[in-house]
Amino acid sequence: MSNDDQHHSMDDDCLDAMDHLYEYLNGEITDKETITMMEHHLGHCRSCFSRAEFERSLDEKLKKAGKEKTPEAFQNRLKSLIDNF
Amino acid sequence: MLPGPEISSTCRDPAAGFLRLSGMGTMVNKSGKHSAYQHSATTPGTMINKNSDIKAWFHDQIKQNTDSLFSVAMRLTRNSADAEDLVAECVAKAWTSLGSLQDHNRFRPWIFRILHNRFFSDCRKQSVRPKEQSFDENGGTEKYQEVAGLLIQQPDEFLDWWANPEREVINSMLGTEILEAIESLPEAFKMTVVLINLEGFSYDEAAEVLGISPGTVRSRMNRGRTLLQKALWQHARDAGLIKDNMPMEGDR
Repeated sequence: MSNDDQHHSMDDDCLDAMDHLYEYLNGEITDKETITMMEHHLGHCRSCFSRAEFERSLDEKLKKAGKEKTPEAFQNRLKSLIDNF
Repeated sequence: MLPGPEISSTCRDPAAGFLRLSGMGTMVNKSGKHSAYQHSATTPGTMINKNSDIKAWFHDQIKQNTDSLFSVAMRLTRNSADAEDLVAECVAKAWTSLGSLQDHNRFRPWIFRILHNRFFSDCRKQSVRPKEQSFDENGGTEKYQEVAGLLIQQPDEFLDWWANPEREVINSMLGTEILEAIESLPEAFKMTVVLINLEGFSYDEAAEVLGISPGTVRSRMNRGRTLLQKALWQHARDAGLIKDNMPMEGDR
């Protein structure tokens, strides 16, 4: 596959969709027109759809990656800290 | 807005502060007279008027947020001993500042703001302030706030890969590798990605924590995620996860 094909497939609609992609995936877009634009574009553009799917799966990975379990000893330390307030 | 007496900002007693926000406090109005203040939005059943109840409420809030506070502290300090100290300092500071919490439903963004500020003020004291690069570094100039604009500035190799299904090699990466990539981001972008993608904050809440506008959160998110992908790409390339058709540096 040539790289030119990849670049060629990106038009202004794609760039516009990309600018709103993270907001869209994070459920931050309230403006109906923009949501409709995103849905329409992702429904019609295979390249942007697969990129959005990839971002979604990366989101899932990020959520899992950051989860730390507080050590029990530290939970006790916090409890006694608060008890002494 | 409620037409009510002005809240005294000089109150140092956290309990008194909390009494104010729970609607049962004694307020000092402009003329200096004390007046009972009844917040109309407070349900009688939720009123808290004893110090022990406030402490129990506070402890409960801390318990609900401990894992999340500790996770963010780990991303900031990168080791568990410092992360524990940071969270403990944050909790102590939160207790003494409880009077500044204006809406107890906003406890979560409020305490994360304390954690964030605490981290940077500690760093200042120790003169080991982390690289809080201005957003002009690594991400290009301020005018490139959009993803498309950012991509224009990236190297061709990265662009080819990012536009290619092979980017999904990231899915084979381990959690630790992804965390390393997050931790390598400039502080401003790291905190935005951590709060929103790792801890599930909304853009508005993240803006409250970071003391910036939601519009700035949006642009930091766009830039942060683009830089994160670049960091993951570099890691994948260094680890040999990207195959032959994506030339390694120095191969040609």
